[in-house]
Formats: sequence, C-alpha cells, structure tokens
Amino acid sequence: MNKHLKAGIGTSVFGLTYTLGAWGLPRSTVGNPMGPVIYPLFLGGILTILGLLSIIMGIREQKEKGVEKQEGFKVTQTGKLIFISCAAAVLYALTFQGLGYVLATSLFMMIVMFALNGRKHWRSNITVSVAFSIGVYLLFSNLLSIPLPTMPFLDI
Amino acid sequence: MLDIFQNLLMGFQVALTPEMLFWVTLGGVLGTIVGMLPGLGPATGVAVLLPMTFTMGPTAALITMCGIYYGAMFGGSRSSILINTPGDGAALAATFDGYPMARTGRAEAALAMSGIASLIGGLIAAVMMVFIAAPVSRFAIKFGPAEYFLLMIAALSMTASMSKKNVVRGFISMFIGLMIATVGLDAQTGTNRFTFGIMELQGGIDFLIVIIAIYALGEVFKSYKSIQEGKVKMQTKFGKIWITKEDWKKCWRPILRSTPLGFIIGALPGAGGTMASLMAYNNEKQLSKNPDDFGKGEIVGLAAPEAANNASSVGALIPMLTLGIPGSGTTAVMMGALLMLGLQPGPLLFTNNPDVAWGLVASMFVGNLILGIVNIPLAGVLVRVLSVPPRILYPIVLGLAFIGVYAIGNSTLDFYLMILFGMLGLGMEKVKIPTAPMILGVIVGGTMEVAFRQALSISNGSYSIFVKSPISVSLILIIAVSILFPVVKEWIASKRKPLVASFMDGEDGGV
Repeated sequence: MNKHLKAGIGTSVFGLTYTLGAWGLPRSTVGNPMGPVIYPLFLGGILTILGLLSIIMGIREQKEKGVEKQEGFKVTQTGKLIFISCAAAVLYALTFQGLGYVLATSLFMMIVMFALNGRKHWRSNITVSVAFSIGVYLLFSNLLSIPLPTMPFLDI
Repeated sequence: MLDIFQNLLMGFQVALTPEMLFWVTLGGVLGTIVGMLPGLGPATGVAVLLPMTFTMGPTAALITMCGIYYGAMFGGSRSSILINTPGDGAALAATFDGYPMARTGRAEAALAMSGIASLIGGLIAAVMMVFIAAPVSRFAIKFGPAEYFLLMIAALSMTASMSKKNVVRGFISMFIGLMIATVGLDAQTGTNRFTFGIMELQGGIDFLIVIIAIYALGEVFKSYKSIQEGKVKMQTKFGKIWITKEDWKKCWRPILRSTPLGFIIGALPGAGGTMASLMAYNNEKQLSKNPDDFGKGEIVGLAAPEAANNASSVGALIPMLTLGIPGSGTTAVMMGALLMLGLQPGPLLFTNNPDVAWGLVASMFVGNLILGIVNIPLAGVLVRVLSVPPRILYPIVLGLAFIGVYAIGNSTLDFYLMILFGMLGLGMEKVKIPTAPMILGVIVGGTMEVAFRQALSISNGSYSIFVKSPISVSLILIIAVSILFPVVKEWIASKRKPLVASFMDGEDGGV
C-alpha cells in the first residue's frame, strides 16, 4: 500500500460517512428546510471524490512502480515517545479537575520529562515540572485572572 | 495619499506608547526563543503564546502577537546559522550559507547580517504595506456574498494547490478543515450538526484548539525525532556581532532586490516565506559572478533569503487583514487570534477599527526595529537558549499548549479534542497530506458557509448568482488556474527536472 492508497481509502471512508451524516441531519423548520444541509453535502461529496481520485492515483502508481514492500508494524523510539505523551495527556485531562492545576500539571510534565529526558536527569525533570506548574498557576490566577482548578483541601 | 499619512501617524501614536513598546519587545523576545527551537516556527510561537494575550485589549494583544511573529522569524534563522537546524521552513535557506559561515569562524558576521537583512526587508515591506493595504480593502468592500465566497475558495485553492507537490492532497486537507468548521449549532437555523449529543460541541470546535493541536502538539511530537539524533556542537562565545564594510558592499543590492520579491510572494496565498527565501537564494546565485561560492559561506546567500523571508512575512498579512483570508498557516493563526478578540479581519477592519489596523501597521515598523536592536547586539545572549536541551524545552511547550487550550474554553473536553487533532495532524503528515490548508479551512469555514447561504438566499436558491458579476467570473478563472497550475507545473518539471524541482520541493505548507 502506498501513501496515495492509504490517504485515499481513509479520505473516501471519512467523506462518505460525513456525507451520510449530513444527509441524516435534521431538516430545518425555519426557512429553506435544506438550508443547513446543502453546504455539508457539497463538502462531503467533494471529499469523497477527492479520496477516490487519490485511490486511483495510488493504483496507477502501484502499476508503475509495483507493489511497495509492506513494512511490518515497527514501534520506533519516536512513536513510543509520542504514545507516552498522549497517554500522559489523557491522564492529565482525567486528573485536571480532581487534582487541581498544579498537581496534575506537575504529574503530566514529569511523565513527559522522564520519557524524553531520561531517568538520569531526575533532579532537573522534577524541578522544571514543578516550577513550571507553580509559575503558570501564579501567572494565570494572579496576573491574568483566569481561574485554574485548585488542589483538593488546599485553596491553591 | 494624505489620509494614509494621517492614519499612519495615528497608528504610530498607538504603537509608540510605552505599554505597546513593552508588549512588542516582550512578544519579540519570547517569539525569538520559540522560533529558535528546532522545528518550531512562527505558527507554533503564536499558538503557544496566545493565552498570554487573553486579558489584554485587542490592540495590545495584536501588537504582542506581531512581536511574537517577527521574533520567531528572527529566531528561526539563529538556529539555522548556529546548529544547522532551521526553526521553520522559511529559515531553511539560511542554513545553506549561514552554517558554513559559522563553521569557518564567521558566526558573528552571519548573525549580524541575518539580523540586518531581516530588518531592512521587514522595514521596506512595511512601507509597501502602508500603500497597498487601504486600496485593497477599499476594492474588496464592494464584494457581495457570492464574490466573497468565491474569493475564499480562490484563496483556499491557491493554498491547497501550492502547499505540496500533490494538488489532490492539498484539497483533501482543505475539505477536512471546512468540515471541522461545520460542527456545532447552525447559527442561521439552530440545527445541531455533528454534535453527537455532546453539549460542549454545540458551540462548535474552536479553531484555536485545532491550531494549537496541529502547531504545538503535532510539531513537538514530530520534533521528538531530533532528540535522538545527536546534537551539533554549538559555538557559545562570540566576539563583536557586526559585519565588515565589504560585507555590506556586497549585500545591499541583493537585499534590496530580494525584498520586493519576498513581499509579493508573501502576499500570494499559499506561497509563503519558504518559497520566497528559496527563490531569492536561487536568484542571487544566478546573478552572482561566482555562483560556486554559494553554499560555502557566501554572505550574499544568507542576506538575500533573510530579507525576502521577512518581507514575505509582512506581505502575508495583506490578504489576511484586508480580505479576511489568511494565506498561510501562520497568518491563519494570527487571524484566529484576531477573531478571538472579536475583530473580524477583512475590508471593514480598516474603516471600523482604524486604530487597530493602523496601530498594527505602525507596529510593524516599531517591531522590526526593536527586534533588530534585540537580535543584533544581544544575539550572543539570546542564543544561549539553544544550549538548553530541547528535551527540556519541548515538554514546556506541551505544558503551555494545554494551559492555552484550557484558558480558551475552561473545559477539559478540549484536551481530548486537542489530542485527537494532534494525532490527526501526525497521521496526515504520515501519508503526506499537508496540514496548512486544513487550518485555513477551519478558520474561514464558518464565514464561507455564511457567504454561500447568503448568496443563495439573495438569488432565491439559483446557483447562477456565482457567475453573474465580472468579478465572480474572474475569480472562477483564478480557481481554475490554481487547480490546473500544479498539473502543468508537474508536466514542465518532468521536462526540465533539476532546475524547477530544486525549489519546488522545498516549500512546506508555507509555514
């Protein structure tokens, strides 16, 4: 599978789903009943066509250059780091309200820092994470007056 | 003519107050720091530092963001020169001769020349901006919804077709962006669209979340690769950062030549700084008496693209400010910021909010000067940031991205959306779909649909309204040309591969 094919299949599936979804949208009760539907229908239709075009290009390329060797699914170091960061981000979202900004952020930053910076630098990892969290908290709640969730029991 | 100067004078009165000077300097310094990080450019800089401006007034916020924008441009070339890693696509050309200069012991001259060339390029481009912005917006004010809709399509298709070699992928990206913009409560009829019963989605997906997801999360994730690759040793001690008389003699003409070139390319939707700087570089190489020196530390090869780059960053603001249509990822971010402040960029900005519009134009002069001052003598201090390992700086950028998203909507649902869009951005990169057209689509999508439906209700549902006026017809022609252009380009490129391919390959979504 080359990139054209992959992009094309993904796009046309998404385009088709979107078009069906647009068709299923409730008709408007005021003005033209199709008012809110026409524009999304156009978008979905065109994207589906673009996806099909991409598939055609992919098939043509495959004919010209032959089928690309399928690389086995390999977990690269970068991929692993991205996965850890995303998992940490989901955890961050889950704990944000409960733990409060400072604790949740310190936790999130520490996970990412330990993954990126290595265990060897644990001292700077912890210092930067905590200093960043407290610094941003103070900046936002005092200077910018945007309230952030506070820690349980303590009002900071 | 006279009113232009009066307006500009008023703008300077806004931009030269101590408060604004402080903001533009702060924005400039912070932007320089973000811009210096490998892989992170102006779009990331503005996206990440956005929350800083939330509680400022619109003028101050805008001026701060301009400072960040120019700062990131200046900063991008610092890392090009010193560690051979461009901060963003537009700083790529600065590695060609800047890095060889640094390696042969001329880092000081390289840093100074890149600063001087950027400064001159930015200043001259700002002068051009003064004379072009108002007439363009006056012309665009006559546009009806049908013309406006077509104009947006034209700008989007130019961006989509120029952003990468493959036009289909550009358009795929653009349509995904437009689709994201349709989520939420339809403002005209109150119909819920694609909200899946989630209350928070009724307000739509905030484009700022998509922007921060793509430019902060996505770009940082992409840059993880550079952590494993060993770091280039960097010079940390500098002598006097200045250029010699001979350097100046050699460079002033190339700088003056490259500035208008950069400005015009920047003003075209989709082309952007990368293309401007690479074209300027190729140009000077062809004009030079000894083209073989290029790539070995020829100072002209650094000065020309730097001037073009900064000039294009000013030019790129023209379609965004006067037409309300951003031509690149970075200006899309700037426009998102403006919308967030409740300002609608477009032809009416100059009549409804002249203080903001002209204050912004004036701040280009002030901002460029201040950045010149900050970046030339203080370059030695600022580049210390480069010796802080990115392993520590990237998590901080991530932390800033999350707090930024939270500050926009006060909801952690946005965190999930951001992770989702960050991954979407990465996935798109994987199959070589550019992300810049998507960002543009998300930003103008709402306005575009409104214009589309307004046009149709004027004409009672007849699509002929889109071909009625001569302006519409010429816009349709532009759309057709911009779709066909890449096809023709590819055909020509296959005939004379080496020449054209060399710089057409370099552009990358005009970031």
